[in-house]
Amino acid sequence: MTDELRGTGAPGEPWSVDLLADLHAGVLEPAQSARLWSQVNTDPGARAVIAALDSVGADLEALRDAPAPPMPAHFAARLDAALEAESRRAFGGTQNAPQPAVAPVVDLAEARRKRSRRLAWGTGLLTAAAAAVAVTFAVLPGNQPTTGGVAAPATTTAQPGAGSETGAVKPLAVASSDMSGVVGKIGNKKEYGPLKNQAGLDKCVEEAGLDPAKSQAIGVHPVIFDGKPGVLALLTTGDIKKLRAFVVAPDCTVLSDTPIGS
Amino acid sequence: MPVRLSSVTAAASSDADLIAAHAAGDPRAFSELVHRHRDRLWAVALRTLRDPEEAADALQEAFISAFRAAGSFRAESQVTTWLHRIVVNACLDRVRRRQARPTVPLPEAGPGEPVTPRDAMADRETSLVVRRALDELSEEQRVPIVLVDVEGYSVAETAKMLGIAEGTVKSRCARGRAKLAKVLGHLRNPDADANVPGDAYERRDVPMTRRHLEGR
Repeated sequence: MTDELRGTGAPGEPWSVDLLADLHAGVLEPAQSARLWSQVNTDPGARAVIAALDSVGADLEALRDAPAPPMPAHFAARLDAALEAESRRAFGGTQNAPQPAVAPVVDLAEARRKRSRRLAWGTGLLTAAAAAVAVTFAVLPGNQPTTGGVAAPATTTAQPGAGSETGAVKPLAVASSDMSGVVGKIGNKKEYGPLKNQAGLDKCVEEAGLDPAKSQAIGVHPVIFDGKPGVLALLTTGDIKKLRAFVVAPDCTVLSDTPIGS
Repeated sequence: MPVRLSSVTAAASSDADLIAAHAAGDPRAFSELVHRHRDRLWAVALRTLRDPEEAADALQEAFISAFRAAGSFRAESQVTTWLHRIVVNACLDRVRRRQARPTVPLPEAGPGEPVTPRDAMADRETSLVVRRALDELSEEQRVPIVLVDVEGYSVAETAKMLGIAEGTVKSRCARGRAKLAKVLGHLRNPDADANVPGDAYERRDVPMTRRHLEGR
């Protein structure tokens, strides 16, 4: 498609940069290549283009080991959550459980479909939460019927009486010593448990002295926090790189308020 | 399964030790490996895919794959080489999927687009200039150039990874380098200008690139 613009290398005729780039990259037939190189070597203009292409190669090679910005904190947190979930699946007392047919990352396709909605928000946190909840489902079979070999993860404590509705979610066991994986456990579902609804959560947020405008709930789930029943809410903080893991007892007593992210 | 935590996950452990410990059931070994190499592999994913969301997804997918495949890691290869290849393959899977979705536009590489923070100091770095120049290439040119010129894969390996002919890899690299030479200012040499048909270059390459971008 470029023939009409390829210089022939005849004396006085301008060189095509693309022709020289093809020559430089070894695209051309050997005979043509040999003929052109002999012409290029005697033409300062052509040699300058070849030198420019060499400089590009050097610039690109230098990029390999050049310092680059680190992975942004919210992506790193999401990665950590996914790997923690994978680690729990592999090592966390469910070693006989069958592996999911697909990696949790497949669920990120769902997260991506939400991207257009998230654009207004300007952060990857929702995706992180959406991905994390998918990871949660991959790891915690929950109340789905399972075959005999599949046990609930050891970290899940069933509290059949905790919910007032049929099919109420089971509280998740969360330890204050291990809050880093909480995003992966909670995800972006909102299960208010003993707080009943958003108003119940809002009341606790206000009583804790947090700014409700900055403290939007990303995900909410009943928990057993260090052995005490409560509700964990992942709240925004006003800083797009940070979430807050806010844990309250049913009477709004704050059990934990932990920043997540950097 | 017995786990040798503290001794194996110590900072002094080699990457190969960590892989072996992970395969033997050490729940912390893989995490240590990830933290050692995450940022470097993030840079690989970002320059291959350009879109930070996709790069993060690909890196996550790659690390999960590596987590599961660690048992089949062969000690004669470098862990970093092994991880690098898994990340690149995860990225290329996404490139192929993206190419199968013709209506999804590539993100514009304009100001404010990248999630990666930029500061005035970094703006002056050559590497940032080169990364931005790469962003101006069509995906068809950028991906082979990243694999061959930045990551150091051979033309033959790149052709195999991309499922295209070696001649196509060379040709796309040639076109991409020609454009980069211009974008990076290497073609501003007066001698070159005097004998290089700049308008022909513009006429051919710029519209081709725009057409490529707009067609996605």
